[in-house]
Amino acid sequence: MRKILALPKLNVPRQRAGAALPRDAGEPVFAEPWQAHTFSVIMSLYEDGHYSWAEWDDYLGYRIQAPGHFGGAAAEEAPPPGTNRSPFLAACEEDGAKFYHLWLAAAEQLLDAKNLVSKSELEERIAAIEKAERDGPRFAAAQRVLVRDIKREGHTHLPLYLRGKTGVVESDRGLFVFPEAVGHDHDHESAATLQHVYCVRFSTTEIWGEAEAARHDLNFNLWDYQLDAA
Amino acid sequence: MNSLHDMAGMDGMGPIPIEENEPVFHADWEKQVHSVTRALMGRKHFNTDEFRHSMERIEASRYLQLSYYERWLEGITTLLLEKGVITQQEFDTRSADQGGGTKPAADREMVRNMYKIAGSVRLRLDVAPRFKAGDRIVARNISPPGHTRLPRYIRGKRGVVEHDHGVFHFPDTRVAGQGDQPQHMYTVGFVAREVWGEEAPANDSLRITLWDDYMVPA
Amino acid sequence: MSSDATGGPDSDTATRIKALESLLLEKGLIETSAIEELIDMFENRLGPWNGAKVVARAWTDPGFKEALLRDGTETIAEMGFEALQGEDMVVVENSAEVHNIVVCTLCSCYPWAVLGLPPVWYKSAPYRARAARDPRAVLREFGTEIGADTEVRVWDSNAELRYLVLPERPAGTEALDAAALAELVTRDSMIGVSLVAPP
Repeated sequence: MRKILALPKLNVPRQRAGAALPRDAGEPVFAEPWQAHTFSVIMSLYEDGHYSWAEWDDYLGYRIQAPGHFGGAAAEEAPPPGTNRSPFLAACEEDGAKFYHLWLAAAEQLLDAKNLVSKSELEERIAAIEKAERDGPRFAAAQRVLVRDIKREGHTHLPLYLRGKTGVVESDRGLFVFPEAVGHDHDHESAATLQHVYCVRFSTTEIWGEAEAARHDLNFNLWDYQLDAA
Repeated sequence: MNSLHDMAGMDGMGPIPIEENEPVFHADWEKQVHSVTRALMGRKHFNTDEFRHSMERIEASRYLQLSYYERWLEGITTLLLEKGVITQQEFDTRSADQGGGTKPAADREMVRNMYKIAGSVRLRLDVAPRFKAGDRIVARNISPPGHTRLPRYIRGKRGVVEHDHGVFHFPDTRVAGQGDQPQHMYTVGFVAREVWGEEAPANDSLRITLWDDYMVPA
Repeated sequence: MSSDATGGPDSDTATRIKALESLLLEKGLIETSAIEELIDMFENRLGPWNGAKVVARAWTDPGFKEALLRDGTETIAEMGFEALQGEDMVVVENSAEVHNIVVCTLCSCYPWAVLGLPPVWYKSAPYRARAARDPRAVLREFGTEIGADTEVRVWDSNAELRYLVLPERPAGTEALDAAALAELVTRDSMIGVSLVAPP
């Protein structure tokens, strides 16, 4: 079964990340959080044996040496004539952002070549993130929502007892991968890959009937696709 | 009660076990379980609703493991112990140490009479119906802890009354020891999409029997 | 033991029912004659051949059919079958527009008077769980395909009503009399999981 995956938030646990790495006095190791994530992804896949260091070096070296990438970052930063410095070392001393752009570009190419993440998968996910961020959440806290009665075949996170029930959005939990849109039984093609997950609050009388004393509420996380406005 | 017996709509039960040239009973002990049960019901040691409830109370993990007539045997055993017809000690020692009370023995004549009277358990009582054919209703959303014949999948759904079958005892209160509470019982129609969601075929529908106390006007 | 299994002669269950029956005999609550009568009735006298006669007569006698659909209990009783007290019969007719299928989702309610005891599949968890929700897929498991234009109508036998499906009379049977027609009518067609095949 697929894990319930949240879209990663680009923040860095600075103390711990910093502790493992050499750092210049007073300077952060990573200028931007995304650089830390790029670095960590590469290192983590390497440590898990998905590629050798030589392979990674090959791809990164190609990026660094190749002209015309990332607005010509490597070419523009080419060492002045007469110096011995390699483009790699030069890049290391240049703007860190540009350097990690090269890491990222190399990583994309290597992961595609290793069949870990294909180029088209990546493009699709980029489009999904852009769409989700552009669209924003459909529901706000305190809004009433109705749970749709859908998706009975195959894997689903929608339990029988909540179908057709009305609740109130308690909070927006952020963007998550919708497992039913990416699983093997991909029968809800209209569903977006990335969706807001909302914590929705239901009363026990709504779920279990009028005779229940309204002793407690039940909170349940639901994907955007599983909800209609009530 | 919302136990495993109320299973409509669930997946994962496996394929339907279709058997060619199936015998009425698969073993002699099944004949005995069936006949002893019917004989005891003929002498009113327990009624249909109590019998159903006794099987609904079987622990969920066992419910699916037991075969059909094993559930019957477990059900009647529970009832005979609860009603004091047989004591646990008698079961354990396999020997009767007391009489069976005041009810006469179920014999061949009783069985013949039981099956010769065709028909209904409709009660000839003058109780006013609360609904009529054509009425739009909502099945009540209740979760009684005891016996009910209102399955989970129909609770809260909207339907239309089609036919009034007359007055019948009400199973929920009958088992709970709160009397027969005679009331009208109706065939009610629901469209499949109302019950099973938007993916059900638009044409299809379902009929179920609901008592007055299972419905409110829509 | 699995869900639909039956115990062998040496099973614990067999021992338990023997013990129970002997205790009840000792206490004078049942007599062996009652048990014998019940076994004979359900093994030999109640069965789908009774329902088949009802169906064949409805196909050949319009007045009977009309009465059958209006009052199943009385009309079937008039044919003289032994019936169990407590069974209110409702007969539902298949047509080009509607295909009826019967299930008891909560237990195993079934029209004993006209069909005898239900087959294992009717009492099984998969049939009870799926017939009401996805009758078309269940019908396909029985080799029965119902066109999208035909309404599939499920009857959940949750109360003291017992349903008998009156299947469609197959084409090419115009020359057959009621006795010959009854031979064609299967148990499954009267539950609604299959159609009556032409001869």
